[in-house]
Amino acid sequence: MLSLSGECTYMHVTGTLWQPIYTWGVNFMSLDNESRVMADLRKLDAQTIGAIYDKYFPEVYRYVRYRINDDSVAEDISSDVFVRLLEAVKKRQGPQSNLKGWLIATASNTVNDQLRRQYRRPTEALSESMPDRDSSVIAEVDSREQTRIVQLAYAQLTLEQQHVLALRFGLGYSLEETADYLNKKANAIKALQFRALAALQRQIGEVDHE
Amino acid sequence: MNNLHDILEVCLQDVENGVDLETVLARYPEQAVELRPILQASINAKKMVVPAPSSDVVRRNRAKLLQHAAQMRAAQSAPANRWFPSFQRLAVALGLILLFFMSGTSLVRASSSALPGDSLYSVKRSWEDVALFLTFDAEAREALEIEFENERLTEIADLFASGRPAKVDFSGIVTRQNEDGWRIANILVIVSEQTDLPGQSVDIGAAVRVTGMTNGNGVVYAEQIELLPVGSPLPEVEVEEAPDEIEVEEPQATFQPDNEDTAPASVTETPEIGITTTPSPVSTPKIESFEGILNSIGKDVWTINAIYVNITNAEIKGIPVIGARAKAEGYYLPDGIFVAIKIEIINSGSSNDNLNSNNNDDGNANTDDHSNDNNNTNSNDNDDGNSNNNNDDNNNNDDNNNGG
Repeated sequence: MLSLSGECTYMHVTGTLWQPIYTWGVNFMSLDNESRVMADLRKLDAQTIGAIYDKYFPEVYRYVRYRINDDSVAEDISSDVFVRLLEAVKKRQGPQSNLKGWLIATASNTVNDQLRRQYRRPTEALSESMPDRDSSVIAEVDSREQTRIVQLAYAQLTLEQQHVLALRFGLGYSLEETADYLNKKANAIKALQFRALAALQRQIGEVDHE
Repeated sequence: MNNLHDILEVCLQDVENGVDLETVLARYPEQAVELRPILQASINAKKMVVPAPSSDVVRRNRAKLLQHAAQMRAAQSAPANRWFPSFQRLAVALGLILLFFMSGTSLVRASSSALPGDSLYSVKRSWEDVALFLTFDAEAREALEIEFENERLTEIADLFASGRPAKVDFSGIVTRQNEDGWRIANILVIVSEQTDLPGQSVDIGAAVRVTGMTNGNGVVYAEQIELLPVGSPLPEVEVEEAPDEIEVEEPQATFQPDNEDTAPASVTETPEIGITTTPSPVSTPKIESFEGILNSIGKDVWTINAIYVNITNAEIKGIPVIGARAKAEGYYLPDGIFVAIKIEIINSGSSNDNLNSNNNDDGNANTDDHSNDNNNTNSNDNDDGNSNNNNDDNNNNDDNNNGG
């Protein structure tokens, strides 16, 4: 016990000497220098790619999974976004400044492509998963069922409405951040999110009544 | 109307900050009727929030990405090395082509037994380049490249036999790293401070090219060791027996997969460290295992579940058949390649005598469920550990994680 407390004091006193060990800070600091990161990325440097992946994959995955209600498809798309990053950087078409913005935009485009492909095929999800029920049963549906209804309603929105809701409510971005990602003015986002939420609530009502 | 959009944004921020819906609406009695369903929808939209991906998903896709990057790197560098030999060699080669047509093959034939240091040795190497240059069939080319790599080892064996010092170069897999030196393609290589090592760490299982000097003791003093890209031609070397004897300087505990619970916390993957630490020549791999479908079988490299698995040092149990289910135990190299220590063919179709299998070569969720049961018995440690590495096709786990 004595030696343990001694060690702590030592570390505390010589705190500055230990700074380099806190690799979290160093890691993000080095990723913040985007021009250097892009140069290393162009060289396909494994450590840089690993660091970018570690920092952004969870967020990209959460975005994709919010928009697509399927674990394995969401995983494939999220993974594909990073492969596309490597391919784009190799062709010098990758992000110039905002790496995270590029990743989210690519994720959004890939999701849109996937959904368009699905729309072309007849979807059975709605009819199959919404059996007839009387109103008393609806009152008792658990929260999981409610989430499922929201998901079905969400899938009926336009791709842009889905995108804005995923950023604002899936990832919790602020109005300004969302405006940045969509390359629009804050007022336009206010109107867009208003319409998206109104449409969502309308669709929830429709799904509920089917 | 714009006003309503602005009010909605204010209300959304209030709700976000934990203010009750009714309290928020009471502040805007005129707009309350219109705002209520919109705010209700925002609360519904938040119900769909998904948690971060499971560590399994993160690790699996990380390996895939790094592997893809390694392939891209190899594609960039490999053709350049082979198709465009240095100008000097090309000049000699063109000269040789002329000589060939003018004076027959006598000079070339005379050079065929030349050893490094002999005056005819450069003729021999240039002739090899010519032969490669004029071979257009990919398979024949590969066979020729391997033959030439074999020739390098034969030359070194001859140099050792005669005790002659000479400058040599050869390729091979690193099979051992300890204080006596490294074993590469069954040749003992002395790596010293003067040795020019690559920026990345060189692990056991890595394919490398060694440039160095032979001496009378039957060892090569390495001047330079380079990592080879994936798919480079390697000589055919008899696999050392007893692969269990693979030695790594430190720490020994990591090579006891039976004892997972006691594995030190320091060996768990900490990617942040990777970007700041200077690479050391010997790293300490973390033993992991995964299960999947055997997609392809090569001489040194198999693919299991689309992951490249170096099998040079692996102890292989069972008969490998493409489509069979295999369990690989080993470690990942920084470039995403998995170096196997042990591979077990769990279900190889007709010729299997295994216990748990369903004779299901497709490797669907059924077999995964079985392996899950087995795994759970010894995976009660941290979520970064070795549990459930094998669920590529099985989403049940992720559902469980996300459900809460």
